[in-house]
Amino acid sequence: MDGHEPDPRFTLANERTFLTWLSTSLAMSAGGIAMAAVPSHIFVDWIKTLLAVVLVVLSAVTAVMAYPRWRRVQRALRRQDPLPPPALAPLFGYGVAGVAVIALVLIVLA
Amino acid sequence: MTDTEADTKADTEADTEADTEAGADPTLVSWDPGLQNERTRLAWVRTAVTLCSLSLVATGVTVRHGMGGVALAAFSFGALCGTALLARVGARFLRLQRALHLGHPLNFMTDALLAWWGVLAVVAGAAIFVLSV
Repeated sequence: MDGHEPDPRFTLANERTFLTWLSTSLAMSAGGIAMAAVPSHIFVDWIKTLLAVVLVVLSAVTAVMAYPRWRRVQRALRRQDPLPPPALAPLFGYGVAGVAVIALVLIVLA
Repeated sequence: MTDTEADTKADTEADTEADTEAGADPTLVSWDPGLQNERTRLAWVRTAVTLCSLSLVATGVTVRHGMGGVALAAFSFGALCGTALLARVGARFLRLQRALHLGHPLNFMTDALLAWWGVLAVVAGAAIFVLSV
């Protein structure tokens, strides 16, 4: 690897951020599984599946990008470049919020 | 017991504690006031426990829905990765602590890959479950 060894505090902070992305991905997967496992007479079937699929897709995107992003941040730290921007953060924010709002409507209507 | 006696006793106790600390393995003493390594260790434990418990619960839900095969294999792999991480987290902490004290570069990839593969497997299992329920 080029550049030089960054401050260990930054290396460890980067590692924790990687782990937090993984936990976030797991939480969204758990939400998707839970949504799909709701008995079919409670929610409209296709909306339930749609919400579950949205959650699992968000979870998959998070999980897939976590490791490459960690490497990219580490490389930027070594070269003292600016850090890559959290480009997908709004997607996760709005995505999870959207699912939550629709689920709330479903619960109220059920 | 008079006040003076109590003071002396407290002093002796404090001395004993200080001696024990000085005699301990220097690599076990915290490396900086921010407790970076310890916080990182807890982050590993949190992630590994989440991975294990989600895998186990998902396995249960999958079995209850009468599904099997690939989804079950994926969740089992996730649980396995989580268990391996939990088993390795203590050794990782000590290795890092030593590297921090000696000023060695920190480059321990195995656990990160293990965690990543485990999460990817669980997500794949979740996708299969969601699409076939």
